[in-house]
Amino acid sequence: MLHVLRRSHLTSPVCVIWLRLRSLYSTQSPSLQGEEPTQTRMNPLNIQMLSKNLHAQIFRGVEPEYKQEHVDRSIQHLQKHHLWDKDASLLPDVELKLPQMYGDNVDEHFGILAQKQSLPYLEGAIRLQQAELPLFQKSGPGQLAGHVMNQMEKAERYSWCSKRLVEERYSWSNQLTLADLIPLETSINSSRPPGGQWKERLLVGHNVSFDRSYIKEQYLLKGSKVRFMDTMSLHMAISGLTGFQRTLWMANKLGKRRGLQEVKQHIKKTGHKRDGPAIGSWDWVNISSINNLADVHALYVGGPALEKEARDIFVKGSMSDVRSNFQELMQYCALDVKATQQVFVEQLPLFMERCPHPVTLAGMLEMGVSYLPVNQNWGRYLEDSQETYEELQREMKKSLMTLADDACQLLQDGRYKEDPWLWDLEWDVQEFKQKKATTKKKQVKNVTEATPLLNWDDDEGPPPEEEEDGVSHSRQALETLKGTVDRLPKRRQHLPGHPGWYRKLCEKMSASVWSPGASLISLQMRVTPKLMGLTWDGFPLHYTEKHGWGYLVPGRKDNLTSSEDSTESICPHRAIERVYSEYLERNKKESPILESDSLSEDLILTDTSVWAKVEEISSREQMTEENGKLNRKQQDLHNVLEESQCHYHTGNGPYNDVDIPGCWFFKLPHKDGNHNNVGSPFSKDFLPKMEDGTLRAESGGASATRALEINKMMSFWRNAHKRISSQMVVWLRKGELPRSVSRHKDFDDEGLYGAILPQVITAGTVTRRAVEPTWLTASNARRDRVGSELKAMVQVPPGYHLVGADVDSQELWIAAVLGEAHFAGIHGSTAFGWMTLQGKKSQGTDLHSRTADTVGISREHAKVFNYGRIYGAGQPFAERLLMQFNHRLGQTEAASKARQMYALTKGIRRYQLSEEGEWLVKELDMEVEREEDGSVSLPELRRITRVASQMSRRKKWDIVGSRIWFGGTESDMFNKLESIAHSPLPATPVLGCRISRALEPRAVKDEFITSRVNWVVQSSAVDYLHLMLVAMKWLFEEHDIDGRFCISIHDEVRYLVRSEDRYRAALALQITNLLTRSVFAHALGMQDLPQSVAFFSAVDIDQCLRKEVTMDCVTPSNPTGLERRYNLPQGEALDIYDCDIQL
Amino acid sequence: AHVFGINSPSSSSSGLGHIKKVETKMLRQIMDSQDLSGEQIIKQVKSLLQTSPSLRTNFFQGALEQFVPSLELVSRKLPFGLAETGMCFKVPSCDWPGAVTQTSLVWFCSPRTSSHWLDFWARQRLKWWKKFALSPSDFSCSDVSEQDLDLPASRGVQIFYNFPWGPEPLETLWSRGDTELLQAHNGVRSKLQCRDGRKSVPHVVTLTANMDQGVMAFLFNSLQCQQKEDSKRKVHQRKVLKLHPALTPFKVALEIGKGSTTELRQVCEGLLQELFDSKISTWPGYLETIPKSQEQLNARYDEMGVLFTTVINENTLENGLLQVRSRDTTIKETMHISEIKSFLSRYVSAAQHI
Repeated sequence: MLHVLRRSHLTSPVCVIWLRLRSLYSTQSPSLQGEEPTQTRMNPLNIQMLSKNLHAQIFRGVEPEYKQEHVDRSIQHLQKHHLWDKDASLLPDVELKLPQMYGDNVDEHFGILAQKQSLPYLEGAIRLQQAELPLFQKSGPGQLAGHVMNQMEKAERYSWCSKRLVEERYSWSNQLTLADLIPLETSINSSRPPGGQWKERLLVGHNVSFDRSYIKEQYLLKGSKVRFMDTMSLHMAISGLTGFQRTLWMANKLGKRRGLQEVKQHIKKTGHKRDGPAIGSWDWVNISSINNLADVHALYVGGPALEKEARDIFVKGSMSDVRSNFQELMQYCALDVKATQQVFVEQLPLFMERCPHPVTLAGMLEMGVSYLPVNQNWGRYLEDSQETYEELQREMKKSLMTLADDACQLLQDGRYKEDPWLWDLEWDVQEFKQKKATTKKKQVKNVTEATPLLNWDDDEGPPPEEEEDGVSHSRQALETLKGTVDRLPKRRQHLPGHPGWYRKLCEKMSASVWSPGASLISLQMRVTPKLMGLTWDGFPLHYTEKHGWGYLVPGRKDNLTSSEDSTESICPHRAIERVYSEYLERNKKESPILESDSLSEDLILTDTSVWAKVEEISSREQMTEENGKLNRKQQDLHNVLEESQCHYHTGNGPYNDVDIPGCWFFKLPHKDGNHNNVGSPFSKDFLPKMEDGTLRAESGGASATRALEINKMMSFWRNAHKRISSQMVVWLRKGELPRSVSRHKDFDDEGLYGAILPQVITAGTVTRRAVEPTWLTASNARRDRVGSELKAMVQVPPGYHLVGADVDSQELWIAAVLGEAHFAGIHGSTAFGWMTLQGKKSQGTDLHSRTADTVGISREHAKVFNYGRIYGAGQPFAERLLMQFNHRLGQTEAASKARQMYALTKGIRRYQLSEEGEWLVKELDMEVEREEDGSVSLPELRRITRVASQMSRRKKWDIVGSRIWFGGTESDMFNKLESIAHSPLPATPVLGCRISRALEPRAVKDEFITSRVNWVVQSSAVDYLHLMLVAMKWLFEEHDIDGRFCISIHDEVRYLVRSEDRYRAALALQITNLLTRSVFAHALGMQDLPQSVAFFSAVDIDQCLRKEVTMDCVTPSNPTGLERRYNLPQGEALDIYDCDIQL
Repeated sequence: AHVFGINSPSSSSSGLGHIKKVETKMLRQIMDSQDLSGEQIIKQVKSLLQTSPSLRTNFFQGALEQFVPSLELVSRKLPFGLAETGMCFKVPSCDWPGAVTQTSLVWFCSPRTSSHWLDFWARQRLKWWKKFALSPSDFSCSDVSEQDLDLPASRGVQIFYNFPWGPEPLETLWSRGDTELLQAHNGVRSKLQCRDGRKSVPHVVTLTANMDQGVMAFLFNSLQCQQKEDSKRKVHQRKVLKLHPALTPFKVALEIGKGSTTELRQVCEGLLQELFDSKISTWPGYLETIPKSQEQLNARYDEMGVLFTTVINENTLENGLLQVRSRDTTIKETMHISEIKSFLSRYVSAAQHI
């Protein structure tokens, strides 16, 4: 359903648009001739900076100044972390004539660009804000349909109805074309605007990207200048909630999900403050809301609640329901539109106040028009993936059925009793039931006897004549025997001779669609892991109702006699011992299993997943801030109570309430902590454990191993196929494509050319990051995952290329540069910053290698820890993750490793005394151990408190002023992040975007710290993206590069560019990165930029969307790769030195 | 789209082809005759070879010849296919006899879809092979590399079976273009054009499988060897030929147990006839004269891949009940004699849909 609020004819500007609207064209004459022989510039810390000519053009002759004391402090710090005096090779200098820039500095330049870009839309927004919506008038569907395109001078209200609603005869086609969609700018059967000119127009809606996907002109490759403002995104920027806050909000306002463990904990933790007279930390609930229009409306506008019941007809009703309720539904739509406008009117000034930099709005407008070109290969991909998936599913079922069949053999002689996995299944068989013989039996006998008996071993010659064409004696005998069928019960028994567990896997013969064998078996059943003979580190898996999946460890003595004589099945602990000793035997031969390098799927980087995990963990566990000492009482309690301990195996247990003679029961580890039960060992969290052999199929041979493999292959498509196959594709006819496409030599008349408009919520999270469920979270192609070549199915039309790049270590650099500005105002002055800029994998001086070395883990794993820490994760996260990566690590060991890692990186807590504290120390005349900066350690602090309370009757002294991190490579970075997070009005350092009202300290006090710290970096990354989008739009226009924005995936941007312009577009992207980073440096008071981060390490020029231009994306559904199957050659990856071209 | 079955002659007098059927007696006569000079002998042998009929080495040529009449059958509309199965001949070598059982489909389609049809058939064929396999992952398919193309084919796909000694092709699919079709009809395009809007000569996709090799693949795929421990901890090997129910040559074996042999045999005979009538192939084990233990019998039928073994004994005469042992589960289920026929036919037909 489309809610259109449209202003036509955007004309002159309305009063003052922005804070400062300067002459758009005032520029300084740039000086760029490098007269001096050398261009190379170094900062006092021996870090190579921008070459002379670039620095002069960007920073306009403002040379950075360094204070000696800052330089000394930095050198000292780097020495302490063994990073001083490392050799660094020089990069070749880049000489480039940048386009003319506006304003007095690079920030002003961007401000002017952004204002220029968004001016017409802002004017529209302001007029819409002032407009009164005309009243809704009732009219029939016939009058409304097709009455859309008139140009109006004043605000008008339209409603568009599909022909399919109005005209009965219209039939559904399975391929959508432009004619099926809502025309906003063009007339029917045309794809050109009236008058040949596209006009700037603004569309406002709640979750407007959904509506956008139904607008005709949005599917055209080029042209439309319509932009979208999303009241949901505006809401997120103003008053958005974190994931956890949303849960709490609903618990508080709607009483929903109150029972959740973490909600209860939070209420308990903060509840008492609520009763106090002062405002408590629950205040945020009243200045925010969840995202739906009704709640957003209630928040910004108030008044009577919005009625949404009518919507159900659209969701559940049929076409005729819609027709018969037409007036009511129109009314509903009209009210929704009105509500949206009301919300927008309230939001606009709030948004302008809280996100004051013009770049933010301009960036969001650009992000709202993403466009993914696809062709006939899209359909092929869907078919191939689905077919491969179904084929694998069949194969898996076959393997499982074979396993079930094979296991039946154990019934003979009761051999199942000795099976380490199958002993506790139901092995009972039923007696075959038959009614007692009646007198009929005698008759039967008589009849049989009456037939002459032949001597079978002799040749009797040809049969007697009566048998030749009649019924033979043997037939007669058979027929008579068949008569006994009436002694069977009416309802036949279901496989009485088979064991109970097997019976349950078979369909009853009475079923209309019957299929033989254990055809009901699936991976999810409890019997399946047992049939496969799964082991965990050599121990057979076992399931209990209470604890879920675990495994049996043999050797327990204290319960051996207790249940000898019970009727229940007895555990074959000797057989279990044999399984384990065979495992040990085998491991002696093979090299011991090392820590796996494969990451669980939800930890593959650059997704939002690491953050999601951090948030999840920090909301569930009560972290006391002091070096993250975890309140572990509950967990310890469990272990103390148990008497029987296993001496040779450590794991999650033993749980001795599981009384299996001769065995201890250990639970399988759970990613969310060991108190959780594992419901299925086949969940995707265990995939890495299967890959490294921790979890393996011991019996069942090839079928079991294959079933595990197939399960892995299917995991991606199983989770994603619904979302992927419901992507709305609109195909364009030849005439609807630009001539450059339809007249290109590669244009194929039989081919299909179209687009998908991903429904991106431009600011969908509290950090203003974009949200979209399919494209923004898609992982890269993996050899063993069906359908994972998804992204590569975005393929250019003839004559076009995709040009794009990933920002190198975006978040690390942002965090680092914040820390450096805070510490000494010099690039590379903190150890963390230095490693980000200069660190080399080869020398072991880059961040990830460092962490890997310190803790003794792989570099891949170290990455997760590093990002996690920067996202605000504390020690418990690290501890948990260490154990997840290597489950053989004990809790103590993990804790010590985590502590070590945090001491080295984040540092340790120290305290600045408050005024009161300083006064006390002076009064009491205490000797206090302090650092240079005057801070004291925790023991010292405790001592002061103790002394103070002894000396006075007052119990509580408020002696802590502020808390800081000290001594680690990242301490200063965290001090900076925390100082921003704790400041009264937290705002991003570069574009000055304020944090959501729901996270401001005055609303939440000291709650949600992790989220706030995380927000600083992530929201700055969004600033980064917005800056890039503005710069690119400028460069495309200024230099006549024919192309459009395609998609941005967090730290990655892609543009769809005419092939002849692709190299210029690549250079534009390089310049964009240079300018964007310069804005960051400038905003932080550092008038310079290191050369190593100035440019993208690679700009990709490609014909499809993929991680690396050389990836062939071979998967089970694309076995021959992109090049062979889809005829897509490798792309080019260019660094700045390859961009040897003029803009 | 239609597929027609055709029968091309196994030998033809056309004189083309490189494998010939030669009357050896006549050859000997020429060789042995004293009054011919060496040159004359050569000449006569040559002419004998010329006139001898040649044997078919594939079905492709025959299908190309059948193209024109078949095109009329479908009123000149594409696509359609000509299928055939039977013996083809080749030069005997130490690995293979001179005759192989081949299956063939020659598919005629429009030039622009030929590549998609090749992919389609490759997928369908792989699916077919896998359908009957116990462990389908031993069947795989891959593109023929550029240098191994059988010209004028522009693309090729092969379906392999991973034998214990390595993968070997079972079936080969080629996208052959229109060259050979034109050749077979002396380049007369007008005869070959179809109604697809542009009057083009169809492109040919061929699918050829070696069924002897295929049967071998299924045998290897289905043979399951299991280590089995008996109650005395002695390890036996159980060999089961777990052929797909549709492929196994015998669905059920009839045995007799304790009781009056003559009477039991009569019932067996009746049952056998009934099963034959329903086209359920049955192994008449009851005719075996040398007595064997039940265990020996089971082992034997498992190796033969017989799906079910049923024993008819004196109890059966009493109440009509049979013991039916399954090859796959080894479990004996009791069943009434009046229901075994429908059970078996339902079992075999349903098994094809898994």
